[in-house]
Amino acid sequence: MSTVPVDSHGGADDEPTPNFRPLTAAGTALGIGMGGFVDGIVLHQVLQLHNMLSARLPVTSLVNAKINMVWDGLFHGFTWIMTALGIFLLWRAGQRRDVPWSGRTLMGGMIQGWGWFNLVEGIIDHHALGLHHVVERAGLSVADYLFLFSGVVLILIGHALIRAGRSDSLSRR
Amino acid sequence: MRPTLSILPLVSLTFARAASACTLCESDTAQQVRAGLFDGNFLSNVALTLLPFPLLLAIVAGTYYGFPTLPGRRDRKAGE
Repeated sequence: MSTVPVDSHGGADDEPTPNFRPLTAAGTALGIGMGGFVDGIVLHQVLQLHNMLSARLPVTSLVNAKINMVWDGLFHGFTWIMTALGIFLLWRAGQRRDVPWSGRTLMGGMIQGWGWFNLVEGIIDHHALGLHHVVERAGLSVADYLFLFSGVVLILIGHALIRAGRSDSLSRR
Repeated sequence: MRPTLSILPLVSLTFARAASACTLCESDTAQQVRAGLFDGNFLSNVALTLLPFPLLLAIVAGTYYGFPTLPGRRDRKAGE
């Protein structure tokens, strides 16, 4: 019979108190990073609706496009760091006995993280600083408000999934 | 071949003429890009580009460690 290590939450035979925070935080970091990649890949590169500083430095010449490309790269660098942080936190969470291995918690965290990215980046870059707008040639438009709205909706969906995941058990099979 | 000898050709390639073929080094466009990047706004542009990320990191930290709650709310939770 294998021995179960005694932890601070109970005796040898007791299950530890479930802790959903590490998995939620890992999902949130992954969602922020991957949400940033969605913005960068889809809106910056594929559709080319805007670039990082395109409201200040309009992409009307090769030089301006290349300068914006550098700032896009810096932005992508930090979305990469957030994704790497999420993987690290997920790895750590996977090693803990008190973290239920809940798909709903992880997915909820990821959706919530994507929502936080849209909300925070939208408020700061699109509205407060005016560094760029979702559709640059339209300026501040309904698309910017839809971007913020999508952030709120994603946060609410993610939060609901995280709450639903609280009924998930500690067992990992 | 000793490791130091095998590295020598690689080091010499770094200083070869072909290594200066990067677009940011020699062309007129490259010089204009450099001038546009490293103008008086460089540091403020770095700060502005990175501004959302400390806030997003704080959200991850808050999710991990728990967000601070108001005293009244904490008391209500304790009484539940």
